[in-house]
Amino acid sequence: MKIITLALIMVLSGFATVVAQSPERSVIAELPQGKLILERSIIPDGIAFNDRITLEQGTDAVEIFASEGRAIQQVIAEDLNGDGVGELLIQMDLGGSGAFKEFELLQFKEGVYLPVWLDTGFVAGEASIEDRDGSGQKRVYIEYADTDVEPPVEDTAVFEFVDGTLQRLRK
Amino acid sequence: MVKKYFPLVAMLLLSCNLLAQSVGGGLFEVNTAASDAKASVIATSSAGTNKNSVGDAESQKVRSGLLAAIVDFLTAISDGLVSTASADTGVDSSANILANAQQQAKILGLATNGSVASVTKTIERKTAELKAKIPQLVKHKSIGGKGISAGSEKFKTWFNDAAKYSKDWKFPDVTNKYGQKISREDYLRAIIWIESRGVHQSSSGKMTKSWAGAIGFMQLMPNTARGLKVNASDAAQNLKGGAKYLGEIFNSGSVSKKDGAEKLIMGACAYNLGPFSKSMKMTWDQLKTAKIPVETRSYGLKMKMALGLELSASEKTLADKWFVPKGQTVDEFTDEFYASAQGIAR
Repeated sequence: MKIITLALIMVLSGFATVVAQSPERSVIAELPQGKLILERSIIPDGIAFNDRITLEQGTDAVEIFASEGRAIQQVIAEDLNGDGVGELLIQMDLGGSGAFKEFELLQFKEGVYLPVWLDTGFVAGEASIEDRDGSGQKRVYIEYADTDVEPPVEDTAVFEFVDGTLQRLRK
Repeated sequence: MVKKYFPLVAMLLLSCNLLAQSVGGGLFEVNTAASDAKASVIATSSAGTNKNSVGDAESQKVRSGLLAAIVDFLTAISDGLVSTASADTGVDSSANILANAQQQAKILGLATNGSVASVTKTIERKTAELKAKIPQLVKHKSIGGKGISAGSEKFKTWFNDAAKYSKDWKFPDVTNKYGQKISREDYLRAIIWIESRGVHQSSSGKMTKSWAGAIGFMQLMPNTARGLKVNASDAAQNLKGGAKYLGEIFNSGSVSKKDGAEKLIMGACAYNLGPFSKSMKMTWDQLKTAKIPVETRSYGLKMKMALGLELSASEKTLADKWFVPKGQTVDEFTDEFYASAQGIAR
């Protein structure tokens, strides 16, 4: 009886661990080349996140991005360069006392997503990709608090996709 | 090589032995009366603490640091490293080794011409000189009302409880410009001072909160506090959370792979920016001029100040530009900053 109880506890606790560690999944976008999936999970007993983005084609899943400890907050799939294929803007929380974010942009080139831009900073930043001025050109907008000045002021960073990467238009 | 340095090594080992005895309270004592005039340091402990005994403890700490420096030097000789050490940055251990080598070379000059006694006197004088440079630490007082601060009655208990979490940190051996070995507790003090100036809650009961929502003594972000399984609003848990967070920084991620003062400075930058930022793969020399927030780069400089690490000329220029108040020199600000940070929980 004791052995059966012990075995039951072990099975249940193992199941609980698996459930607790199961990543939270959400669909970012359905693209011609497959379904983009965001998986979020925290490494147990720590502050590191094991988030990742996969491209699922049928039963196959290919990892295209791993957060390496950072917490993915938002992924935006939008075509920035007008080639008909969406770029991926990834917004990550860094967890430090300064409340900074890290952003990466992935571009789909020759069948794979490659990182083409990285920027760190932007306190409490929230990103969007829009054509705000109706010019037909989509840009990246990051609303954030500029803590480089005292007292901090709210600001918007605007980036344009030029020569295969993002370039800031104005400070 | 061995033959050339044998008399030097033998002489220094002998002086180490003598110094070790003095660290243990033996053959000779630093003249605290002389140094007390300027800096008799550290009259910061709570009521009832004997000032002289604290001063003696500091003396011993300085001597221990000096002893460690001499041992480093001997190790450097045996490893044949002396000729390759760099004294430029003041950050890596090789810089310390060269500085120590130069210091010991001066001692050697005396030793070869004089007696062991003159060597020990020189060491004694150097120890006293270093001790005299330590700014008098600030005694933090209660801020009254509903305030919770480094001057609160229970603070020392909370601090000591939090410091237990620092035992597991992979913490480097670093000696500061005063000849003191930097402890885990010193590091916690520095973080508390940089983050919150030692105030968790104001006298009116308002929680110390950043623009972006970081809370309390250690300025924990809500998500980070959740991951650390602490309630950031509770002062004691906030301190524990900060100590646990520093454990993550020192033991995993990019900072864990660094060493010496570099690890201490980059650990501070990671505390502010986030330990898993790709910027943390840089060196401090790269980071301080990198395209990342000024706040994070300032944090590294403030940590150096709070730990008593020497700032280079270029770092002083940056500090002056970024955060040293007008009308105050960088050196004045640094002394005040060190005295306030290291006065916490004494």
